[in-house]
Amino acid sequence: MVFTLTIQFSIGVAVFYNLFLLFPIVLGKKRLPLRFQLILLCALISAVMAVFFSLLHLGNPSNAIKTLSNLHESWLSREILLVIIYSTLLLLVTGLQFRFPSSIRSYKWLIDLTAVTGLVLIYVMSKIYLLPAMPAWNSVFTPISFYLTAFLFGTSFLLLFQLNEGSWASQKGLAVLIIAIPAILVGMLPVHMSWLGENSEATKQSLALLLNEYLPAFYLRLGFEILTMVFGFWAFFSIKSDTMKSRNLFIPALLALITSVGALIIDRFLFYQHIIPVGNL
Amino acid sequence: MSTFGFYFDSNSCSGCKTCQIACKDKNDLAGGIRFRRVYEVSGAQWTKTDEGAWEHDIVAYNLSIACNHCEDPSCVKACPTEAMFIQPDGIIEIDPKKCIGCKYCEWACPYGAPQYNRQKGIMQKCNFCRDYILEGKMPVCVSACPMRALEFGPISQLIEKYGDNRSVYPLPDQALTKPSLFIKPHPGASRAHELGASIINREEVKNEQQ
Repeated sequence: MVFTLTIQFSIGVAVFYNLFLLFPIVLGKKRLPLRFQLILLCALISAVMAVFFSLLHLGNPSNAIKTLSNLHESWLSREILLVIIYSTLLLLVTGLQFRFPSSIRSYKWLIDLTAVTGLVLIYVMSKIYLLPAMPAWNSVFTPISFYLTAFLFGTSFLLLFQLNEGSWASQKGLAVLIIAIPAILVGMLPVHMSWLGENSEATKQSLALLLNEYLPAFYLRLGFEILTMVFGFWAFFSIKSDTMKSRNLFIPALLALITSVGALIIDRFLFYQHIIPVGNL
Repeated sequence: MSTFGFYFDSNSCSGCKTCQIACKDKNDLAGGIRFRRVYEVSGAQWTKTDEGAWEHDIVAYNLSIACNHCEDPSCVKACPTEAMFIQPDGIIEIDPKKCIGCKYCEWACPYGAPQYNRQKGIMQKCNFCRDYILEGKMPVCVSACPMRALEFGPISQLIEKYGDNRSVYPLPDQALTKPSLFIKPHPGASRAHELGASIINREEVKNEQQ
């Protein structure tokens, strides 16, 4: 659970940093603000934490090499390879950014490649869970949930990070996404639940488990998602062209980050807890 | 492709669990690990007759399940280290030197066959008592069964003798992994789903070393 959340946080931050902050700077041929350099460092720290947790999961760091043996068939092998590639690229671009901040245009392609690798990694990560033996995971809801998790992490973190920097348009764009992503997550809930209730015996039992054993956590997650939307609206209306350098945005952006992190942690906890294997063996 | 398989007669099985114990003994398994598990399936329902009386409808039977050495094994595909591999004779085994105990095979297997051994930090499972087979003997679970509910042999012979039914409630559809397990279902199994039958000894058979 910790591995998937930390790596998805890292990817979300890297992707939205590239799209919303770096892209306008590269286009406008402006200098990279010092604060922005720290963003990729945060993504890197999160990726390093994820690698650390995955090594714990593997029992022994040397086992990581063994896990690359079945790349032609196992999605777990592919995931580990992509985690290594993504983390290496992220380390490289973070280092380059600190060493050569003024020539970012020359290695922007490397940051693009890092973001794309991250997006592919999320897909591969979700494929690990698409197991016929675990029907509640084996649906399109799993990759959608993984991507939305990364995107919400990325947008809510970046909005807080660019209070006194960045463009009005990118701040507004991030605020819109902070409203839209939880809205999609909330809107998806009834569809997902009705699918669980109709798909198979195992998914019906998963739904029953969710509603009987984890109802408080389920409502807490829903509450956090709704609050994230509320804070997203607050942030959106706090962003005015003449207040870009004010502190008006700080409180809603911080609250949106806290509630979105809360919602996503509970969401992932429920993802692992509600699983019933096929045949319930 | 597996050349050997198990045949299980659910109608004959009394649920004595001798197969489970014999397997544990032969493989010297640690507490909580069961290569073979006897699942108790049961369900019941009351129905009102036209005369106004209440009648009960009960179904109860046992399923003795180990690794089915599937023809399309999801555990082998899932294993990131290739520790789970198919022998030339079709038997699926785990190489303890390669296994890292990530438990992904446990997720992938719809029969709960791979079991985690906490002391050794690796996965373990039934290998059809390969050492016994090479000596010309039967797997220990088969020879131990007092009801002769279990049989072992080449798949072609088992199909010829008993037909090709590999599913019974609540086991997954045979199309999922094509298990080398041929089943004679209990007569009540056809009504088990409608009676809401479930495994009632789940706590007893679960791997306590997970």
